[in-house]
Amino acid sequence: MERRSELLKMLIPAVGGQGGGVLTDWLVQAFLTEGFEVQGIGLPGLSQRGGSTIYYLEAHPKINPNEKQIIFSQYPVPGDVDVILAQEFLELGRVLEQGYGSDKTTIVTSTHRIYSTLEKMPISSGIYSDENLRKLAINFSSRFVGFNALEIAKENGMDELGVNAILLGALGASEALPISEASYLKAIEQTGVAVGNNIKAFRTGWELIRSGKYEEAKAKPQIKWEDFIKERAQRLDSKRAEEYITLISEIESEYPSRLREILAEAVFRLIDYQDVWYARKYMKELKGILDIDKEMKGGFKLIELFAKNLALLMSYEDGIRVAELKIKPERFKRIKEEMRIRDDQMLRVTDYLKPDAEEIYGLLPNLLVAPIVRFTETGLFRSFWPENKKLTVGQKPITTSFSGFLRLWILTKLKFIRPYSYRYHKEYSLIKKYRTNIEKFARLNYELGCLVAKSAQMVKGYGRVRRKTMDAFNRFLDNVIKPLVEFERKTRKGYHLTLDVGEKSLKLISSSTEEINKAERLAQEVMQGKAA
Amino acid sequence: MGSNYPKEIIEQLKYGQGKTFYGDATLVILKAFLQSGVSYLGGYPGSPTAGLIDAISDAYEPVLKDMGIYFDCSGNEASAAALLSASISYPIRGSVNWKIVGTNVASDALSHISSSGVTGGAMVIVGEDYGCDSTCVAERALPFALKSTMAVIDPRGDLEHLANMVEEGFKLSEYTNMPVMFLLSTRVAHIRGKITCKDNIKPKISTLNPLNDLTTDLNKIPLPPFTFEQERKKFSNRIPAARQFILERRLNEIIEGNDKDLGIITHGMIFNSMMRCLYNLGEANLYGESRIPILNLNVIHPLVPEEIVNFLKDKKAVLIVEEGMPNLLEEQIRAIAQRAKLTVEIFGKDILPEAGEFTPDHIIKGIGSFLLMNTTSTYERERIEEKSDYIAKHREKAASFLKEPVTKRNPVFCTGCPERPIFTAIKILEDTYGKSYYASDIGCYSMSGLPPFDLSNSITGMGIGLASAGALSRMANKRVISFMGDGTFWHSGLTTSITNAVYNKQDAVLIILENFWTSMTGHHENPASGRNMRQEGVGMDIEKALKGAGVDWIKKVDPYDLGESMEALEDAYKTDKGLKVIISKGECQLEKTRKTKVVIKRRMESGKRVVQPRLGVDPDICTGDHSCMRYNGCPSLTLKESPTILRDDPIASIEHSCVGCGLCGEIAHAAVLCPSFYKAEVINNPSLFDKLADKVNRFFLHLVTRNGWTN
Repeated sequence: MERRSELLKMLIPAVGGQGGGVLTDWLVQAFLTEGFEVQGIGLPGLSQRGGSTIYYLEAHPKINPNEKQIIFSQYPVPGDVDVILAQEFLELGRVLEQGYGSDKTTIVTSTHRIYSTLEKMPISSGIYSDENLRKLAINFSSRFVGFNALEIAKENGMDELGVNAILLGALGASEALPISEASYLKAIEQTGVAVGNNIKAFRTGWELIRSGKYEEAKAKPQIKWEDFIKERAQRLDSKRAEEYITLISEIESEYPSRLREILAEAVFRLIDYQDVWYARKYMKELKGILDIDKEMKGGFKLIELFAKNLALLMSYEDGIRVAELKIKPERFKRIKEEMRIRDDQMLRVTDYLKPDAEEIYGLLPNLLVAPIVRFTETGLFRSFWPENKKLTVGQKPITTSFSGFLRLWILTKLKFIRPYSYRYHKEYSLIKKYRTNIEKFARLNYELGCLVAKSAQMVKGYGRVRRKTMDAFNRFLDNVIKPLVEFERKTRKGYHLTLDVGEKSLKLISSSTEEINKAERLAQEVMQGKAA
Repeated sequence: MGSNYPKEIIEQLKYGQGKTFYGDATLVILKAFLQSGVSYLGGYPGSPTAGLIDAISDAYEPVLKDMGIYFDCSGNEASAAALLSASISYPIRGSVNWKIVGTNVASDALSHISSSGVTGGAMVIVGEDYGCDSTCVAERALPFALKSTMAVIDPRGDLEHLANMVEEGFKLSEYTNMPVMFLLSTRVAHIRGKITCKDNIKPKISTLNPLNDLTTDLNKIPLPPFTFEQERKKFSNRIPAARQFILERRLNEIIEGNDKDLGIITHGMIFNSMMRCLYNLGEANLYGESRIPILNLNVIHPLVPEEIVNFLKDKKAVLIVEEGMPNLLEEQIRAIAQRAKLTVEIFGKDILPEAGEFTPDHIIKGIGSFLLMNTTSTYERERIEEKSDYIAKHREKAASFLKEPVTKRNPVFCTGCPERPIFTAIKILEDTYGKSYYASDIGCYSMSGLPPFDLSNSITGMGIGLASAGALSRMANKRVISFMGDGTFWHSGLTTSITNAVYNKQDAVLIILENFWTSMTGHHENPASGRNMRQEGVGMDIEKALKGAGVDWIKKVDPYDLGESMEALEDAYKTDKGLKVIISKGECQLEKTRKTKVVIKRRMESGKRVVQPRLGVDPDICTGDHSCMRYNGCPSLTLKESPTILRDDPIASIEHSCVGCGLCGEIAHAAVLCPSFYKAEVINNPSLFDKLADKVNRFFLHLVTRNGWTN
């Protein structure tokens, strides 16, 4: 019983609710038109709500009537799939991980991502690596056709469901299946779902593959250095722009060229955030670490991490900053573009603002606020104001209206008191601690310095969230890194343990700030275990 | 419900002899019903039979009504099963359907009807879902049929065969007086393909031609002493008749192979996977010819000992490929062989996995070991070994290729879903009130147990959530919160959970999520919809029913007003005693959008003022801590690259699919998260007042800033 290869097996991994059923229907219809025996299977159920879902098709050329009927399988067999047509990149990865791809599989996939809830939840980035997916796809296929169909749909004015017909067009043009263009088009017509748009999308996909354009490297166009500066300088008034250019020349002469974009962005951000004095202060802080980096011959990884995080820490988001960003003309322009507003339409923007108590009194001078804050931390205060009783001022200003705009505009005028404010004082003491820790640890071990420099990434958010991340950061430095370093300095040559536990701790904290507890325990256990 | 099937597809149901019909398995089954002359249909939606209810419901007006077929929008599976009573005394054919776990609800009615026996063909389509592709447990329907003595058809995966087996099933039911259970597995239910039609048969007894005389036959009443006689008939008449019918009609299929020593017995759709495995092993072709003889059971109860013995005798070894536990087929076949004193060696769950779905990788391994045990040639052995190990090795290679496994993607509440906000509210309140015991139930809201909410301590079955916490309400120092949808409320929740709670003075908070649809199964009408599936108006009111049941503490909230929900929850938390019910009422967003889309388009085209809201995140203000995601989980709230090169981590972003429900903004407010969210409203066809207000606005804006925000 010789094995014949006329049986075609196709797998369509998809995301629930993204039109995978229609895509399957088109293929079934197209095969029927071509005179094939065909079976298409969809698996909705729970997966219809944005979960992973899979469609499976089998087709076989019609056999002569005196032969028996084809027996189709309802299950795909790992390692035995001819075509994988994937609607989304992570879902492609999932079926490949399950072994459905092999050296006889043609993969046609969109490389766009629909992030899963688990990728969205971590404090840092939980996004699964595209590079991993690509490696997997190349290794488990004979041919890999991957392109961002969502981007192409958007470029052509289609919504996300346009992805399906674009992919069908790409599959058609790839000639992986014995189906003619006419049969595909007829299938779209017969299925009767948004026929006009889908035929347009099909042709777009078809052309893309035929012209070979999809293979062009999609590297981001590099902005020229001059333009990079110009673009930023233009957004500052002429006096500040001048000072900005001066600072840029400092950067050009003193810092390695691969850091200049980061520094130019940082300096711009801080001028915009406060003033030129503040940007200079930033440069001064940087200088000390740059010297250490040079001294340790580390290759500027340390200074890069420090430069990025210091700029973010120094431009902490307070009420003044938020108000300023909320009423920038660029903001309204951006929203108008995003909403695709026409001239005959009007726009109304309502903002959801709810600063908590600290975000409000934090704007007041430190001298005034600090004693009061100390009082609120006493038991006396807590006895009539329990900790979980929140004091917040919720408001929803219509920022496009005069009254809403005015409220924010007035706030921006308070910028001058920022360097004297309670919040500034608090943020800056953390920055100092951050810098001195880096100085200390980088001198002991360059990688250790980098780890600490990187760890400040966890400090972000507003109000309570930010306080929690600051607390986690403090505890990371004091209770994880410091004791481990002490421990290893005495007993060992390198700092492998600190680096290892440090990285693990950062990973833990990135899933939730509460995990700092676990990180601390881990450090303790490691020291006890290794000491014994 | 919006129609699920296009009109042209439904029109095919009228096709006569010889025409080709294109559709999915559920439509094919409906066509087979019509070709069998059914008088009534009913059922309760659930995966994978929900499609059948869709098909019936869509076909009701254009096709079924004119044929006089009654369609019962059954209140639950027990009501559906009870419908079969019409076939007990009269030559009326009918069929009802539900998903596997529904059989539990239906079993009381099934027991009684099976005892009475039927005159007209009665068929239950049960959605068998051993792979658990929907909210259910891995159980088989077969044991139910065995204990009640029903025949069970388990068709292989082929649409033409499916239609044929439905028709045969009605005949079998009439010939044996047994109701027939017809298993429709998930994958078979979703096959799309074509069949060749036969003429439809108009039912003799129908809503157009009702019965005039009703008979009373005490022998059919399941009460002693008649039950004794009924039980005797089950085993002395009905089962033997079924065996005879199965043999005569050749309902089970035998593939004659050349190998005289070996054989395989399998059933239903497993046959298809198994044939593929044999093909991959080089033991069969694609057209149903195999070297090893095969007995495929399309009827798995009752088995026909004659047929089994005929197949087993003179063979050395036979493998039984049976999916699911308990492996009743294998045990029965072993008993048959023992009784017939056959020497054949029988393999089954000893070399195949006991539990779990029989996917090709499991089957091929099992067949491989069976063949290895019965092959002596070294060359053959090596070939079999290589081929049967291939899948497992290939899977292993693929799975170990990446160090970091591909991230899971769990299902989530849809964009703008009215059920999501209450879980957000509970999650936010956990900071103040701590965790509660969350007794979940069956419906979309079962997903509250998944990330990002993780609010589920138990799922116990349909309408049972609150009742399941009965003992813990008194014996745990935790607040009990239970969730229930409107569909679940009317299915059984009112009696099983609510009256039980009031009766027992249970201290608990019950949240009823009223969204007017049974959405999880694909938007079926339920009593909260105000209409039934025949589109007849009904006036049923959850609040009135609650009051009638003696619930005093009832609060209604608008799900999109997070503050209101949180206030109601806090009130409920602070009230110690008794049952507190919060009704969160908002229409299922999918259904709402489907309807309003058309209205909005029409209004815009006719020049009327339409305000379209969408939420947004300011990319410079978002710091990328993603706390909004941990309270939300909306598909349209996602990640993108930060606009500043200083920030490595992605920030939040809202996609175009946003429906403007405003929840993410409300969350930022209620949980005091961040000021990044905004609502942008586009005013189409602005009114004179809008334009005037805009002028005044601009005038003042120009006073404070050179060009205001408008440039």
